[in-house]
Amino acid sequence: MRKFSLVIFLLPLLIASGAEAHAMLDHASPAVGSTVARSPGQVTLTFTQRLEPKFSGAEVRSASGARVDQGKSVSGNVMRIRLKGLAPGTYRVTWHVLSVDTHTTQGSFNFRVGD
Amino acid sequence: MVDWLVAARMVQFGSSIVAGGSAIFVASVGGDGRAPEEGRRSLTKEIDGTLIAALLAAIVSGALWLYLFRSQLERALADDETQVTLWSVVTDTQFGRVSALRFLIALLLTVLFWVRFARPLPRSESLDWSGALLGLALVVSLAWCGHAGSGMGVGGDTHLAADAVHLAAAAIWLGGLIPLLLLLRPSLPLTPPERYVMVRRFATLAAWSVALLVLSGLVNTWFMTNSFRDLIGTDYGDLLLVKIALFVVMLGFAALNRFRLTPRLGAARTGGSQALWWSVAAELLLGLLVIWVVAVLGQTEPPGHMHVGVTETGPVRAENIGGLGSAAHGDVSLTWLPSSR
Repeated sequence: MRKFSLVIFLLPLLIASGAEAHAMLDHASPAVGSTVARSPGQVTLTFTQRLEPKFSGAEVRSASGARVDQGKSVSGNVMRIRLKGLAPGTYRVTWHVLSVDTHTTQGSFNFRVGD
Repeated sequence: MVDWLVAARMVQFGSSIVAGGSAIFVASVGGDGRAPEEGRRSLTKEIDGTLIAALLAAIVSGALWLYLFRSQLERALADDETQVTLWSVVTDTQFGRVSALRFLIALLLTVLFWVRFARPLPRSESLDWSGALLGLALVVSLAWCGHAGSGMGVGGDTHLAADAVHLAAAAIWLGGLIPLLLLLRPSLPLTPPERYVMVRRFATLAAWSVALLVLSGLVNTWFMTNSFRDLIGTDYGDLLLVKIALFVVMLGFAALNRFRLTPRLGAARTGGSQALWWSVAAELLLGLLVIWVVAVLGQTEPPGHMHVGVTETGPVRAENIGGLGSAAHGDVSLTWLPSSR
């Protein structure tokens, strides 16, 4: 009976193998919604899962809509977007990723350069 | 409306588990030297028919899964300049590469078992065990097609290993039930005591598999949820409870088979396997329902990943947003999901 109780106790711990989740943005540099004093050389996006480089990307635009990114590199769960020199102002990062478990997610956030 | 992705996943998981489990059954249970050669050969021939059908289903559903993934990705990247071709999906994604490898394994196994099925080859232990190992690889490689294959570091490796063990154990137990049904068919030239020896051998394997299923399930849960409270009132939690309920009933049938009906088979001079056959068939039916729930669960967001999120910025971990102060100035608009802390 004790063995049976143990089995019943452990049963809720059984969970679907292969259950899938979407890659979340774990953190960004410059941080989401932050203000940085000087133009950053790049935006670094760190996700919660490994990414597929070919099908993941991001763009950075100024308030006027001009693109200020100069290419990307993806390694593991980190995506780096190189930037041109940024003038003071607000910039929007728009990203889309495919995690290796086949799910796509996208999002966007702003950061500010200058005061 | 049919959700073809769920259907493809279900057939892929089910057929891989049946193929892997059947191949292992032939090598381990069917290889029992105490049973007469003629009976073992007849059993292997019966199982090979199932194996070939399961492998063909795995090949077709694998191709369908890959095609549906490509279509889904193409829609998701409609605004992007990246070309999404079947070739680029196969070569440039982990899912595509693993699917291609699994396709080759399934093809190789089909040829192997077809040759054994069509020509009366002498029994070969090395052939049986090669088939079993390849069958196991076919099942275990499914771990790289899901969430467990996307983690990083020691935690990611642990989750991946637990998922691989979970799949292997499912194949040995659940995948072995069809060969077990074939073994219990009266038409096979085996006496009840000979059948009994084989059934007992399978029961031992199945018992270890159940223990591994529970342990690996424990590890998987650790990685997929934050607390059991997350399982209450969510789609994922509801589905998981259905899965657990089915599993409990399956265990009930397994216990009935092991402790009541199998000894009856051992004591019988003739027959004795009909009740056991029906009971194993019920266990198998429940197992197929579990696979269906797993296929749906795979398309459902686990609660451990739902409690953080920002609609404006896309999914973001709550604790890592550095700009909450700026949000008050309107730089970013935050809307927490209902299950957020």
